[in-house]
Amino acid sequence: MIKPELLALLIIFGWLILTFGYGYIATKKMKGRATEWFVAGRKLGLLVLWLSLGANIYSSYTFLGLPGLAAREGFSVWAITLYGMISYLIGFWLIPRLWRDAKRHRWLTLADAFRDLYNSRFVAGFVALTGTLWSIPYVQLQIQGMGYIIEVSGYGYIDPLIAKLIAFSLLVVFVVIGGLISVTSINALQGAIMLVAIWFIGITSPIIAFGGYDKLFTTLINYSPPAGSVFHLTPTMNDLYFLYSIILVAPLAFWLWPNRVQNVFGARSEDVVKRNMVLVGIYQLSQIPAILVGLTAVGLVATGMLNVPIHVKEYADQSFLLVARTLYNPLVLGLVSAGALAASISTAAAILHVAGALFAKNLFFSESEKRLLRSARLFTGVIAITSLFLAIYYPVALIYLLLVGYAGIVQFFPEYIIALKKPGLIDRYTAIIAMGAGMITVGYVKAFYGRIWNIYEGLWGLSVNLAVLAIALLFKKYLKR
Amino acid sequence: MVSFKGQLLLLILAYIPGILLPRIINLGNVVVSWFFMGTWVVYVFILLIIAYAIDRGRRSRID
Repeated sequence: MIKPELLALLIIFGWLILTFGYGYIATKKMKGRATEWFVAGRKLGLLVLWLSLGANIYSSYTFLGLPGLAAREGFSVWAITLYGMISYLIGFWLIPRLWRDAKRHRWLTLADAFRDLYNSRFVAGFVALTGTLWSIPYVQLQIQGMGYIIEVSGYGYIDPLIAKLIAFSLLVVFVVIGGLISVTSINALQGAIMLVAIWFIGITSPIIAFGGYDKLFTTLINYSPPAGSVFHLTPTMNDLYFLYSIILVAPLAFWLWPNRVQNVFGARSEDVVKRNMVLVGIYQLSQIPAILVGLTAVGLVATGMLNVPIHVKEYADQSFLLVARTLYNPLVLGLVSAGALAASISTAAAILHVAGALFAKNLFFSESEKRLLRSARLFTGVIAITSLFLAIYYPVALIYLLLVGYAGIVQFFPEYIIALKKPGLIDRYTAIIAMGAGMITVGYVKAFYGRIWNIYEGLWGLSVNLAVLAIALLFKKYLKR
Repeated sequence: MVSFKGQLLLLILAYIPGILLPRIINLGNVVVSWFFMGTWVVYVFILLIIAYAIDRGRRSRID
């Protein structure tokens, strides 16, 4: 008879091997050209694109970070779910336009778009470099998530650091030898398993644990959080500042993540892109059951069925898995953990792939395809190791890692939109200075204040970004006189 | 294709429930506030479907 802790781990690693094998077979069919490596030859159909994009977007942050935020802070979690849904409305207008331009101009990366909009390789290099750097927290999030998954699913049987190193080594090797087709093949599998796992656990766990959703809320209302906890169900005005600032700013950055843009570039047609916006919104709705799982974890602590300091960020971020381990048998835990791990790997794979592409193509201007591919693979490894180092030595709450990345990426938005709508209005130097000022502001606020007046750091950065643009335009107008 | 004005209108509609949020907070009712937020998320998803339906309608008229 297999021990419960081994069963869960066997399922997890069995899934990894299956995924690796599937992706490897897909890799062998790859033609080896840059367009195949970068954007799957622009052949992705609706179903594969939907599953792939879903797995790309929804990762450790959905499985672990979101329930974690719900468990640690309660009401604040709604800001995250809401901004995502609003992002799809914005994407419905923005992304088809981006796809058309990408096809017409043969853009392979987001930096290619900025190169053409500003007629400047310097701007492209800036976008490539900063886009890569702001992606590091996103990769770090996935690695931390993978560590939590192994730690909880293995009942402490495998040291999380070793498990992280093994899983991530497989990931890096796979990304290095593969390309977008392979990552997309994996993503499609992960997307399918993710949806099933989230809805199943989200819907059934409150019923199993408390007998219903109303009883879950009754338990939570009567719960007195320990000292040091910020958990609250009833919203406060502080929550409002956070929510308003997030839903205004984060949706602007949602589609500017280099890995998401590149995933869209791989679509077969504009119609597929548009239909996908609606269909991927279903993944966003899936965040609601994920929130319920976070609340269930708090309820389990309140009733003594779970004995961990759930208000502490490491434990809060494990809440989805702790609920699965407490309420379900190891088989279910193994399958859920496999889905969560696969989601993390797929997102990390996509980010690393694109980060390497940006770095190699837009920063070092390699025109030879052979050199291009070699450079991309090398820098993918460097970025991965940096992220792994940060995950091990500087762990942060998962949601806040993602949000700080968003805060940086959103600084591309004004310069992108203005160049699209009013070409030539802003010169390349103004664009770089404004974007840079915004990014520095984000870093400064986050490093020295955490958050000012509970307003999202991305809004502070964007304000400085727009102020610099406004000053530059006024100065230009003054000089013309 | 949804026109720019149409898109802007849908976006404004998506944010409008935020105006009610201070009042919801003042009620101090946990169930009402959580139900409101869940409904807001679903409401935005419905707006997304409407955007797609309008777009398809326009494209089929052009075709």
